[in-house]
Amino acid sequence: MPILTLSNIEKYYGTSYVVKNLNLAIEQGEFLTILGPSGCGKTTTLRMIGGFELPTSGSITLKGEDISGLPPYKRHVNTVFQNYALFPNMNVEENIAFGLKQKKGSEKMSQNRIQSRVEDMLAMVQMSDFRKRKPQELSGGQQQRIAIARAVANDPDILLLDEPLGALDLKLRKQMQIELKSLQKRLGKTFVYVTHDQEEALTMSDRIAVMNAGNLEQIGTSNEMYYHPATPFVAEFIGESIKFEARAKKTQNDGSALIDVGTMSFPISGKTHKNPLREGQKVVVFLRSEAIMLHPANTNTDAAFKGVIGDIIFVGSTRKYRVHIGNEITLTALETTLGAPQYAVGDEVQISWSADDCSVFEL
Amino acid sequence: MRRIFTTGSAALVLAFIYLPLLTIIWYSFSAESVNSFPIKAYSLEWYKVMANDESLLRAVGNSLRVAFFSTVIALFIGVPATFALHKFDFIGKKLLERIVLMPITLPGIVTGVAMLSFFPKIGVELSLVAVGIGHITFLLAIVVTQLLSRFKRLDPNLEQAAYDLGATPLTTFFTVIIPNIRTAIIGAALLCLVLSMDEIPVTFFLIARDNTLPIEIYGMMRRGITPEVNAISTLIFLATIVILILSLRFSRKTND
Repeated sequence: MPILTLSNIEKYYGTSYVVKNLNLAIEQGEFLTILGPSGCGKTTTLRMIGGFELPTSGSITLKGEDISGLPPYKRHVNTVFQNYALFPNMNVEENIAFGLKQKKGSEKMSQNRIQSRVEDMLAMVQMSDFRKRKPQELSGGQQQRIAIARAVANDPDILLLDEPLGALDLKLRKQMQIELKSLQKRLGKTFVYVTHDQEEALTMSDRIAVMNAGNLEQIGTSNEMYYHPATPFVAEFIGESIKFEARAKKTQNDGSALIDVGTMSFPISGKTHKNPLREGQKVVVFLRSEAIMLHPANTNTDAAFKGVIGDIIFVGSTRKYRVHIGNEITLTALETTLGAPQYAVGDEVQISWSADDCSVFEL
Repeated sequence: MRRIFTTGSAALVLAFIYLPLLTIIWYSFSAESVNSFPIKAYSLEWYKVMANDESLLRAVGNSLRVAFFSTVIALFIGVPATFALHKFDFIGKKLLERIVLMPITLPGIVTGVAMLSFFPKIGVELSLVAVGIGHITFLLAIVVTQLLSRFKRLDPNLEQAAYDLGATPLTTFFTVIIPNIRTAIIGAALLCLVLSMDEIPVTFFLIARDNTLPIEIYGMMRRGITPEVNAISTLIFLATIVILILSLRFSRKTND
C-alpha cells in the first residue's frame, strides 16, 4: 500500500487553477521527485502535502489516514525549506531540538532523550562541531545540513524537500545530491523532492513525476522518462533534443515507418511511438543530441543525411556541434572530445542515428 | 565653494535647532536667579533646588508611571494586533491600518477635547488613569507602524517551519515570532516612553490634581523661566538623548 496518496487533487486560486486533477501514489521508502518548470504547480503540490495550502478538492491520505484538512503541526511530515528557514534566534542545537520539544502527551520526550537525538542528528550531517553556532554564522551548505537535520529529527513519515539545493553553487550542489541520496537510502525514509533541475531529478530519484501547467505529464523511473517520454512536453523538457514537424509514410504493421521532413526522409522503428501511425499522418519528432552521430564526409556509411558544421561549442568532456541539413533543419550533436574525429566550422559531414533513437508523437 | 555652502547650511540648521537647547543647559549651571548674560558665577544650586522640589519630583513620578503603564499596555495590545493585521487578509484591512494611524496625525488638541467629553460619560474620571488611556491611543499607532514594517521583513517561512515541526500557532508566536522581532519591540517601547513623557495636549485635557512633568513645568513657567526649569529641562534632554540612541541602536540591529 502506498504511504501517501493524492486523489483527484485540485487547487484553484479564484478561477485560475494551479493543480488540476492530480493523482499520485508514493511508495514507502522511495525517493520521488516532482519535476517541472516554474509555475507548473510542483511547489503548491508539496505545500498541500505539508499542510501549508489546502486543496480546493480531492483528498490526501498518509498511511491510510485522510490528512487533507489537518494543519501542518498535526501532520507527521517535515519540510526542508528552499531558504532553509532556520530560526535566527536559536543556535544549531536549539534549532534541531525545536521539533522534539513540541511533542506532547505520550510522545513527550525527556531532556536527555532530546539531547541524545540532537547528538545523533548532528553526527548524521557531520555538524557536531557547530552545535553552538547561530544560523547566520554558517555557510549556505552548513545551513542546508542543519535544515535537513532539523527536519529528520522528528522522524517524519515523509520528508518534503522544496528545491533545497537551489541556493548552493554547482560543486556543492553535486556533492549534496549524492549525500542526500545516500542519506535517504540509509534512513529508508520516503523523500518527496521538488526541483526544476532535470539533472538533479535524474541523478537522485527512484521515480520522477513531471508536471506542466498544473497537470501530471508522466511518472516513472529516470530511464523511462529519458528513453520513453510519454508526452511531447516530457520529451522536450528532459534531455537536450531538437524538435521538428514531419509526416509519417510507409507505415508497417510492426510500427516502423518512414518520416518525411521536407525533401528528406529517415526510418523509425516501432519503439519510438506508442500508438500506431496512419499513412500521411502529421507528427512531431524529438531527436536527442547524443543520439546523433557525425561521420567524415568521405567515409562509407549508410547515413541518411549530409550536413555542414555551423557552430562548435566546447563544453569540456563533450563538444557540441550545430549542424545544418539543407536550409530546413539544424541539429545539435554531442560528441566526446576524446577519440572522436574533430570537425571545423564549414566541414561537410554525414549524419546518422538509429531508427530507435527518437520519440514520435501524433500531432 | 559648494562644499563650504553645504557645510555652512548644515551648521546653520543644527544651530537653529540646538542653540536654544545649549543655552538652557548652560544657564542651568548659573548661580543667579534670573537668566542673564554673561553668567557671572557657576554653581549646581538649581539642581539642588530641583532635587528638593517635592511637587516637581511627584510630577516626575507621575510621568514615569503613566509612561510605563501606557507603554506596556500599548505593547500588549499592539504586538498581537499588528501580527494579526500583518497576517490575515480581510475586507477593510487597508482602512483599518489607516484608522489605527489616525491618532498620530490628528491634532492632540482634538483627541484631548474629544476624550474630555467622552470619558466622563463612560465613567472614567479625569485622572492619571484617563491620561494613560489617552496616551495608549496614540502609542498604539506608534507600535503598529514600527512593528508592521518589521513583520513585513520577517521571513514568512520561519512561521511555517515552526508549524511544520509541530508547534501550535500560540507556541510559534512566543518562541519564534516574538524573539525574532524583539529588537523592534524594544525600539518601539523606548520611543513610546519618550513620547508619553513628553505629551502635553491630550494630557492637558485629561489631567485632574496630579500633574505630569511637562504640565508641572508649564505651571512653573507662569512664574517666569526660573533656573530650576533650566535644570530639569537639561536632565530631560539628556535622558531623551540616551533613550533615542538606544532606540536607534535597536531598530538598526533589526534591519540587519
